Amino acid sequence: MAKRKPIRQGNLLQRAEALLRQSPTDLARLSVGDSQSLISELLADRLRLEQRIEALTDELSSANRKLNEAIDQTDRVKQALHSRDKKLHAVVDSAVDGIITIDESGQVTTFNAASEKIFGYNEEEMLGRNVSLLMPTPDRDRHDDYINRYLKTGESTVIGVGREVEGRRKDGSLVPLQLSVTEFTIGRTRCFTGIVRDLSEQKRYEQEKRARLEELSHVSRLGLMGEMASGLAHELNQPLTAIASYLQACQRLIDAGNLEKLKPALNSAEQQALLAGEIIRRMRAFVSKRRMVIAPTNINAVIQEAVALCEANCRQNSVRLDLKLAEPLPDVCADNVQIEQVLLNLIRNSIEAMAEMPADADRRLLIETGSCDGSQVQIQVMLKDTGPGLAGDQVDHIFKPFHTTKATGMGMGLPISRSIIEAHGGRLWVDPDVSEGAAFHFTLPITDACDQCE
Amino acid sequence: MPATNVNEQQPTVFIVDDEYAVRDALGLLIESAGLSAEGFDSACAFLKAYDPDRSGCLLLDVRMNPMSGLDLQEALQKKNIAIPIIFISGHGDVAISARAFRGGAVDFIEKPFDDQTLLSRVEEALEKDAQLREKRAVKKEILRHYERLTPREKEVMKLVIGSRSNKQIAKTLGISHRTVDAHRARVMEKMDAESLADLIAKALQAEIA
Repeated sequence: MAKRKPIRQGNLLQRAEALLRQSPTDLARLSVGDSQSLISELLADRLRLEQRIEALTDELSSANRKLNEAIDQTDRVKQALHSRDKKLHAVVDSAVDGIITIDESGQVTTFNAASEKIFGYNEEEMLGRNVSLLMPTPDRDRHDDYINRYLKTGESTVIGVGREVEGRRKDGSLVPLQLSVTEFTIGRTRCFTGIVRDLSEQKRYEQEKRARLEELSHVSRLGLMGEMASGLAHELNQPLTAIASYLQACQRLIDAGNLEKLKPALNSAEQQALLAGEIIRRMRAFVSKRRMVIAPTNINAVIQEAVALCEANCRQNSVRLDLKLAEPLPDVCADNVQIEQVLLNLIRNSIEAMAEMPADADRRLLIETGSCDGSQVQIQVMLKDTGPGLAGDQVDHIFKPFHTTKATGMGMGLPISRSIIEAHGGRLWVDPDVSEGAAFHFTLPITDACDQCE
Repeated sequence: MPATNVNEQQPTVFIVDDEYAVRDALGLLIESAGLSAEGFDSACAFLKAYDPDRSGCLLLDVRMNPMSGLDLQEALQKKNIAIPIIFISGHGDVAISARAFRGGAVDFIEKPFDDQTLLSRVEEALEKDAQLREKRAVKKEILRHYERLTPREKEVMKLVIGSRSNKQIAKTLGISHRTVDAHRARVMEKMDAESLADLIAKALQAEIA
């Protein structure tokens, strides 16, 4: 006889299936009680199932609702993002400075309106192109390497620091730019934003200003040399007198057959001729019309040169000149002729002020150099005299154009001197608190702290 | 007796200029003309070193510090040193040359100068110095004689050279005619005067009023 498989408690569905797989004879052997209990179990299961479906449906519709909400939210975010993007674009485009973003490969991802104006390319032309297109050689060829090196080593000369560079316009012309670059990351991609400012206007303005100063300082040097002419004539007269006397003596020595003393006398005459030539060289260098050339300059040497030009003037006016020059001093960034002009102006003023004092008055002018109160970036020059000094109200006026206390002179010396020093990045002022005489100071940046040197 | 060769030594041209080359060249030029020269780099240095008994002249730069040529001229005057001064100047400054001449400068020449001008001026100055020294020697000699006179004889001498007659002198001094005669003879003898004219000349030379 076939063994009846027992119907076990458990999964109702399995049990029902097991039941159906049994032969009809086996089925017929099922008791009514068994059927009834099975049906009631089935009914109970159905109920449970329905309940479960209902719960699931609830769950689903809640999830659906949430999903819809999420979709709405996303739409709103998307819209907000879009409007923000538009706003950002508008802001970026309305910026005065050129804003350019690039990815790691150097490809342009943003090119704002100001950039279009600076470089002559439009946005469509630049998007996706390599940013090196905007650079002249050699940067143009090296820019990819710059980026690669930065990505590898983190070393860069532009990121985080602003600097002056040259850009290349679409028409090939060059444009001076102030460039600053910052870095940002999207996901795992690093991107760079470059902000460029067109310096053409500023450069042109600076150049004009410089040209005006050159012109003005030249005229002023001519005037100054004119005022010093009598002293310089005297200065030249000394070697000329010596030369004439040496040569006259030489003729007599030849006539007398005394050739032994001839050679040293001729040698002395030659030295004096060279000295006279040196005086003329100095004068010519000083009055020459020239471009301003800012270069590393030894301020002590410039002072010596200025002193050589005005020594005769000092002697004529019984002024003793003392130098207290700090050695060694770092070079300053300066145009040596213009600084000499400032020095001579101040020295002349001082001599003239002291010339008006009683004959037995003490007339001394001290010129001193040194570093600026412990500053490592500026050199200070001081000129202090024992003259009558400046009255309180004069201090406010002396740097104004056409203010003069002299019978001759245009009152331009000090204003021009101040302009010259300021064009060098220094300062010129008068010390109002000295017990006697007048004290002028000026400063100049030392070479290491200066970016103007050519 | 005319005094000759008061100074046996050779006159010296003293050059005072603060510029070495000028001093050196002038010295050479002067020596090449057969004169002796000595240089000083400042007025003070000259003033300190100069012995007034040395004959010569002074070639003096006007512009020097701290003591100028004019200051030196003044200082020499104060010390009663009458060495002839030739000023040399780099520029024709009328005011300065006027002051120099008022101070008794013999000359004022401008740099640069030709050697003929300079040397002839130097010779003139040396000549003048010699004359001055001779005059001073003569005066000194006359004064030496004068100091030997008694006070009364000096009184008589003053009246004699004032062209008073013996009679007038006797009356003025309240002494006899004969006494005046005797004083007068001793004055002539002590003063080594050959005649009244000679006595008057000597009195003038020695500035005996």
